[in-house]
Amino acid sequence: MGKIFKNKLIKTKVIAGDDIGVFFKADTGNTNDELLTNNSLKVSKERLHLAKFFFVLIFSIFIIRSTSLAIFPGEVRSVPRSIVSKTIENPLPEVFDRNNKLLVTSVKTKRASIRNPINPEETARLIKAVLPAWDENRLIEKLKKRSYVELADNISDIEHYDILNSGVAEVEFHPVWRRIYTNKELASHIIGYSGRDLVGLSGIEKTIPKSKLLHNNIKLSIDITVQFHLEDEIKKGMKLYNADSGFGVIIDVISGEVIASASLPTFDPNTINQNYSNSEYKKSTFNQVMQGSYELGSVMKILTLAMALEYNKINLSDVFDDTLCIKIAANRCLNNYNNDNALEPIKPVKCLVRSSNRCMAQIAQLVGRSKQKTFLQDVGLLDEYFLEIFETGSPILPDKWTNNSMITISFGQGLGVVPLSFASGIASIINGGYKIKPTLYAVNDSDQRGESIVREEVSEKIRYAMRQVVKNGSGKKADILGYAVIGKTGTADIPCEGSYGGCGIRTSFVGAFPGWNPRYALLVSFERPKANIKKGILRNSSYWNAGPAAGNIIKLVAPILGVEYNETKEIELPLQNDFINAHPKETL
Amino acid sequence: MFKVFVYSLFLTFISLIVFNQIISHEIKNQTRELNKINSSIRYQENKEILLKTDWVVRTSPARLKDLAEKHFTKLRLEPAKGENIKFIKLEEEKK
Repeated sequence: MGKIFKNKLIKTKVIAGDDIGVFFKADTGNTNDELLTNNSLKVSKERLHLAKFFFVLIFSIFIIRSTSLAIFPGEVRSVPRSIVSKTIENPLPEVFDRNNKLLVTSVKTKRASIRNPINPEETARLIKAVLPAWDENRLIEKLKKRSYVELADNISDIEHYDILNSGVAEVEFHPVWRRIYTNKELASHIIGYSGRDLVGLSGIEKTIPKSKLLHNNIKLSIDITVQFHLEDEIKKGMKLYNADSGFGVIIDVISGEVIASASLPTFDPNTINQNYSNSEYKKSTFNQVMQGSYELGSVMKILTLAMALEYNKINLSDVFDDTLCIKIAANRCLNNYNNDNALEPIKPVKCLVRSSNRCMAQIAQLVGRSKQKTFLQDVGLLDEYFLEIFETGSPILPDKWTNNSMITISFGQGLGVVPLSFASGIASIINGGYKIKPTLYAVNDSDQRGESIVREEVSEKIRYAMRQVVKNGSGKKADILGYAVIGKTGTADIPCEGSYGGCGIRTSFVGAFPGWNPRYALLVSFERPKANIKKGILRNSSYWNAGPAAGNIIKLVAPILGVEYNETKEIELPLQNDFINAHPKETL
Repeated sequence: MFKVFVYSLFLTFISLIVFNQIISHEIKNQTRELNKINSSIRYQENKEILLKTDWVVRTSPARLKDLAEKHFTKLRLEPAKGENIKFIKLEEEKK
C-alpha cells in the first residue's frame, strides 16, 4: 500500500522480506521526517543481516554436529556395562603338544552370584533345588550375613537355564573363563595348573612368557601319546612291583626336548583347586623328575667309565682285580652287590656288565677326586639347572669331597642328582659327546648340541659297553628286538636317618634307543619295589622291575617316535686308538 | 529475494534434519544387525572351542586305549609295533 506525496510513491509499511531497496531508490525527499525514517530503516536492515548471519551459523553448527553424531556413533564415550563385560579377552593362550594336539584351552562359562535377596530362606530353598551342592542352612546364614554371595563358578548352560527358571530374581550372571586340561592327569606336572580367574600357579601355566600371553599359542616339546604310554607303563609297574612311587623321562639326545616326563602318583589339574587341602593331593604335585634329587646307584657307573676313558686313564683292554679289598672304613672292605665278585681279572666293559663296585672304585682312584668333580660338573650334575618352569630341584652334594665319597660316587651312592639333569647328562655322553640342555618348548627337532664333554670315540665306546649290559648283563629284560637298546640298570639304597640299609631300595634304568645312533634317552625309576613271586618277579632288584618296565616303554614308544626298526644292526667294538688323540683338556 | 532466501534456508534445514534422522535410524538398525552378527560369532566361537575341547577329550590316548581294550574282540586293535612300520616301508619301496 502507498499514498501520493509530492508526486512520489512512498510505501508506508515495511513488511519483512519486501524489497526495501526499491523504496529507498524512489525516495529522494529531504525533509527531516524522511531522513529519520531512512536512518531507522538502514539500522534495521543491518540488524536483519546480522540476525541472518547468526541463524545460518547456529543452524550449520547444529546440522554438522547432528550429522557427525548420526554417522559416527562411536564418538559417544559412555558405553553400557553389559556391553563391556561381553568383551573380556581370553587372558591365557592355548597350549599344544609337539604334534599340535591341544593340551590346555580356555572355555567361557558363567559365574552365578546373588545380591541382597529380600527373603533369604525362600531364596535358599529355591537355590538348593537347582544347585544341590549347597547346604541350605549354610546358604541362609551366608545370605543374611553378606550382601553379595557367590553361588557357583563355571555353571553349565542347563544350570544357567534352571536358575533363571527357579524364580529367584536377585541372581546375577558374570561371564568368566575356565581353563580346561584336556588330558586330565597326563603331563600335569609340566603343564601345571591355574587358580581362579586364570592366575597360573605352577608349571608352564605360571611361566608363560608375557610376549606370548595374547593371541599366541604355545607349543610344548612333549608328545602326549608318548607321555600316556610312559605314565601308563610306570603306573602298571608300580602296581605290579608294589612300589611307593615311580618316575620316568624320555628326552631327545640331539635337541634336548623333553618328549615325556612322568612322576607318579600324579594329580588332575582340573580338580586341584577343589582338592588342594587334601594332603595326598599336595604330595602328588611334587615332580620327582624335575624337583627331586636321588641317589640313583649303579647307573652312575656309566659316567665313571666315560670319565676314565675321556682322561685317558684306562684302556678298554686294561684289567682290574675284582677281589681286591678297597678300604672304606678301618675294618671294612667295599662289597659288590650281593657279594658277587668275579674271580679272574676283568676288563672295563665287563666291569660295567657285572656292575662291579670294586672295579669302579679302582677306576675312580685312577682318575682322582678333583678330576671326578670337574667331570661331573661338566656333565651338569653338580649345579642347579635351568628349565622353563619354577619347580626345579638342586643336587645334594657330599659335605666334603673325600676319597671315600669319590669311591661311593663312582658307583652312584653319596650324591643326590636331579633325574632330569642326570638323563640329559647321559644323553650328552651318548650323543657323540656334546652337551645338551633340556627344554620344555618345542624346537622342531633342530640340533641344539653345545660344547663337547667327551670325545666322539669315548661316546662310541660307552654305547658299546651299555649295549653289552643290555645284551648280556642286568638289562636283558629291556632288550627290545630291532632297536639294539643300550642301557644300564641301577639299584641303590635309600638313605634314612644318616645310614643306608633297611629303608628299602630305589631301582632305575637309564638307556637309549636305537643303539647304533641314539636318538632318545630314557630314565625309569621305582621307589621301594618288592618281589612279586606270584607274577614271576623273583626279586626286587632293577633287573626285575626297572629293566622290563623300560623295555615295555621302548616297545610302545619307538614306533610312535618313528625310530628305525632293524633286527640285524648291531653295535661293534670301536677300534682301540685310545692314546692317539689326546683330549685338549689333558694337554692343558 | 530475502524472503526466498529465508524460506529456502528453512526448507534446507528441515530437509537436512529429516535426512539426518533417516540416516541415523538406518545406522541404528545396521548397528543392531552388526551386534547380532557379532554376538552370534562370539557364540559360534565359544561353541567351536567347546567342540574342539570335546573332540580332544574324546580322542585322548587314555580313552582310546580303554575303548580299544573294551572292543578288542570286535576290532582287534593293538599298539603299533616296530615290525609294522618296517612292513609299510617295504610295501612303499615295492610300489
